[in-house]
Amino acid sequence: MTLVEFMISGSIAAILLSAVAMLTFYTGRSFASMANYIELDQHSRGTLDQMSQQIRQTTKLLSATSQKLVFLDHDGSNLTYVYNPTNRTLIRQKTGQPDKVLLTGCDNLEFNIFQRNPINGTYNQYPTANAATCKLVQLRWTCSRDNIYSRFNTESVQSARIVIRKQ
Amino acid sequence: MVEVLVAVGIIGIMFVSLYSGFSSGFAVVQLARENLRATQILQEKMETIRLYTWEQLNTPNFIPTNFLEDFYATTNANSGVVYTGSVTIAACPITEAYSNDLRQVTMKVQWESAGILRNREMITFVSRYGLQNYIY
Repeated sequence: MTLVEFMISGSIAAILLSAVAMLTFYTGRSFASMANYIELDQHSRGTLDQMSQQIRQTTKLLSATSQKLVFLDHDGSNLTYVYNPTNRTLIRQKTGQPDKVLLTGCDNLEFNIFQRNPINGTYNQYPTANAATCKLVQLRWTCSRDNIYSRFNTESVQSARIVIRKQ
Repeated sequence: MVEVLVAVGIIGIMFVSLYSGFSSGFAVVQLARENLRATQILQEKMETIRLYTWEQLNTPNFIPTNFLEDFYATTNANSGVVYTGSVTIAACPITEAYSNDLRQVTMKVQWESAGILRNREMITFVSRYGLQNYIY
């Protein structure tokens, strides 16, 4: 093999290796993001299902802020959902049961409460500041996971409205 | 020389297949996420149907017939896929005597994913003497 042949083959090999390296890098990043998305969606969906089921069968809302909801549960005990922005967690508290962390890596979470009266020509209900007149609870949160490239590259947003059936 | 060409060809096919598999997998996951969001949108709209009275349900345009929703529910510069929704309130397709006391509510969302128009829908019945009468 002459020097010229060696240089040409070396250049081709370098180009090919660069292409493979870039593809590997891109694929690795995509795999990391996808794994995060799946994990986030799995947890968010599970939490949403649990909260929907539990809030629907509560008796009424006792107090509410944008980060904390306290319900009177169907069995007469208190059921609380509280967001801790410092720890980025959503926690479920129920009298007589250990606290349960529903969400981790939660960057923001907001509760809103509404009356039952729908607003004409919209899908919205009238908001309320009084827990006693609350019929509808809206949940919104954004969770994210670290990945090796950037933290907010992987985030999942959830939103739901839940009607308190017994109220 | 022939062996090298054959080997390179096989390696080429393997790499293309490998990365096609990755690409398909990512597309499937993306579609699953979009499906999940579509279900959330439908569920959210359907959840509030029980709050309307029979009269409100039957008043034209009291419930809007069309809506738009973003993939990302919160305000975000990158709102992602946009879902176009529609709500149809129609007579119930049954022959029983009480059919006039029922309405069929159909919610549909459409969105475009990878150049393909996707559709999902939910259907429920609402009765005149049903859910909306449970008012505190």
